[in-house]
Amino acid sequence: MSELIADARPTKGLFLEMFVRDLSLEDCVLDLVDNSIDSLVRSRNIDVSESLIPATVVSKESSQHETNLEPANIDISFDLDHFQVKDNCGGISVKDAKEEVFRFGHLEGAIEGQLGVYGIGLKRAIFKIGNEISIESRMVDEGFKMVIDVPKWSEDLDWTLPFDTIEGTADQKTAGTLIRIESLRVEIIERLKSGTFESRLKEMIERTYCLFLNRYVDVTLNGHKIEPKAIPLGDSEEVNIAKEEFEENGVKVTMYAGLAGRTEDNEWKQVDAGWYIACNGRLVVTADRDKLTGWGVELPIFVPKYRGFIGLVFFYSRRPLLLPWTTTKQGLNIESLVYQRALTRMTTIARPVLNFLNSMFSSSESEREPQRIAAAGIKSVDITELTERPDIQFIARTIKPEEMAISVQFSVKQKEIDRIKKCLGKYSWSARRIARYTFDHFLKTECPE
Amino acid sequence: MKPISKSALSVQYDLRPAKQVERRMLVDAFQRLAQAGFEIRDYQYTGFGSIYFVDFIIFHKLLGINKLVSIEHDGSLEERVKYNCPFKCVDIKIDLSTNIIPTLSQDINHILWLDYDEPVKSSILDDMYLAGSQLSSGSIILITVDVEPPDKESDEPKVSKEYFENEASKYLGTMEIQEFTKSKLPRMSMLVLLKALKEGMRGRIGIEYHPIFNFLYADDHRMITIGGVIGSEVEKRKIRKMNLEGAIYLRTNIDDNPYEIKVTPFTRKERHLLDSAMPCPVGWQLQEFKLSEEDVNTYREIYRFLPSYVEILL
Repeated sequence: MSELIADARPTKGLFLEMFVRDLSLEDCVLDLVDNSIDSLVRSRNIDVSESLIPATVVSKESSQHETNLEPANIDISFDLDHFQVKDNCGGISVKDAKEEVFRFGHLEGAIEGQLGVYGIGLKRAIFKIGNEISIESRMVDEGFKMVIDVPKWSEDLDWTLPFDTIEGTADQKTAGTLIRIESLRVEIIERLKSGTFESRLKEMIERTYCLFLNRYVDVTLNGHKIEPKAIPLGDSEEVNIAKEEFEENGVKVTMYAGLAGRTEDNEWKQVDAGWYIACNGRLVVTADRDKLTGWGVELPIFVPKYRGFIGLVFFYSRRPLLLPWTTTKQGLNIESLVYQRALTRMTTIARPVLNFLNSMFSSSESEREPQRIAAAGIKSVDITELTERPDIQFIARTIKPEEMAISVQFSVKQKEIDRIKKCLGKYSWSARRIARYTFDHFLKTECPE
Repeated sequence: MKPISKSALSVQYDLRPAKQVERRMLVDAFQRLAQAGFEIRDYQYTGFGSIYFVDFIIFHKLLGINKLVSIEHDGSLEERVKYNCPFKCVDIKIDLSTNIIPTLSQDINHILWLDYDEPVKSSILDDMYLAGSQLSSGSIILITVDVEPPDKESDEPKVSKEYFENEASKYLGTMEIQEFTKSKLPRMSMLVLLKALKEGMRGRIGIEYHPIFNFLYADDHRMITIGGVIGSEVEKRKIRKMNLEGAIYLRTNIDDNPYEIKVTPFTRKERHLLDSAMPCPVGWQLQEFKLSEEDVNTYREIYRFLPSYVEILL
């Protein structure tokens, strides 16, 4: 038995400083949205597995009930004096507030959320943003309100957060949580002043929650409703989307690879190209064209000719800790075993797509044209329909170069056309018709099959 | 990515004795694997049949394999390849191997032989990676590459190193210049190929590459063929169970030297004479004329696998 004992407890101030360091303000806001969605998942019993994707959503409890529900609302608003997230996603119970929600880290055996993983999102977000925090939550028949004065609390040795009960709501539709943060931190105010912050946040929300928006939740940002931004995976009669599924260590992985739908001017947009990766329906990686998803390592370095490539990977698990996301949910834990396996499969299903694009941008016209024709017809699909499809490889049915039509154009003298007209006795024929006739005639008589 | 063809049209494929010895040894090994519990007969064989289909003919006839896929990348040879297809059960795919490997069914076992006639290059490594990720547990991967210095003009390790840095930089690790001398190229090529294969196997828990083959031979250029089973402990145990009697060509440890296929030329009369004494004890010598001990030993190792060629007037 040792004689002396050193005090190694963290000071709260240091803990709070370090705790909020590795994530951006945008990450914080998304963490708060995750929390709201988690409430919704719990209160509505939504199955955040592959059935999240199909258009016809059936809840485990009762499908009828589910279809009658309007999407819940999450309203985010901010100015230089406050930051607020208000939802009607079901609220937090007094019991959960007391025992779980404000713990740093999940307790063993606690009910895990589907998007909340580490039990730190809410706390990290609020402590990062400001110094005066108020949280009000109402369920049917019960509610609570908590006010935190951060500077004061961080000096206090006690790790508890007192709160009071308030009246609940009468209607499930209004049950929800209001988080309001005032006395914002200096660096946060600077970020909020930036002219690009709002649009960046909007872009992140429209992509990150594209599977939830308009279906389970409506998110508004400073009063403006955010529409989901679809992942532009496309197909056509000739070109299909590769699909593959596997399950490992309690994680189900479904992946798709193919080409993007063509834009109106028959092009592809490079900013949309790359891999999209979702964990339990929430996108954690968007249009990645870098080492994280194998570009320049397993796959070739991304170059503009690959701008038609779209890959999509869904990881699902009842236990979010098993998913390969990082704590900020804006990246992947590349050491995760399931991700290492997924990466080799992603490379494998992507290869034929990249080979198609290599041919399509080949310097040889005969090699390039069939691919261009096949690509022209590709239209974006609704990814909610993809789950119905069988596992299949990427196949592009291109026409063989010899069956491809090319247009022949050349100039001749008027009197030469006239000579042929005279010879044929067809004075009324157009030059075009004469050309066609003479070509066909030569083909038939001189080059019989 | 780019199988055969180029040399297919310049080399008479079935007349390369060392290559043929290698094929016969592969058949011999597959028969031993079958005995040890691998259902080789039900495997799918995928290779580069070119216009000769030599490997397809012997695997179908001697091993009873009925699922056969031949990959030909050169579309201009399509008609000729199809014309020469020896059996109805050979499915010919005119495509790049890079496109075909990801389509190999994960529900059956495969023998995949990537029989290249070029030195290691990035597209070959991509194929190895894909095979590592795609092939089901229990499948057999074989790869053949040229191990001459990649630059025809120069044997210098510096020049070879430059080539490999261009083609395989991500798999070279900390390899030093002395790994790129002419004599070390076979081993270097093997290590790089296996690294690519294992990279493709990342995340496949409990699945390893179990080496079986490491051949070195030269009908013209020096070539290596390496191969093994992709599998778990179950397959490893089966490989251990294999009857090794007389299978001197097997290499189950990658640190062992390759098995070098040496074909010493003998006349037909000499072969008849030698064969009548085979298998001979060590140190045995002919009465009729003198042969070096090495020649006798080499012959003893390969006589069962050595082809005889005769001229037929067609």
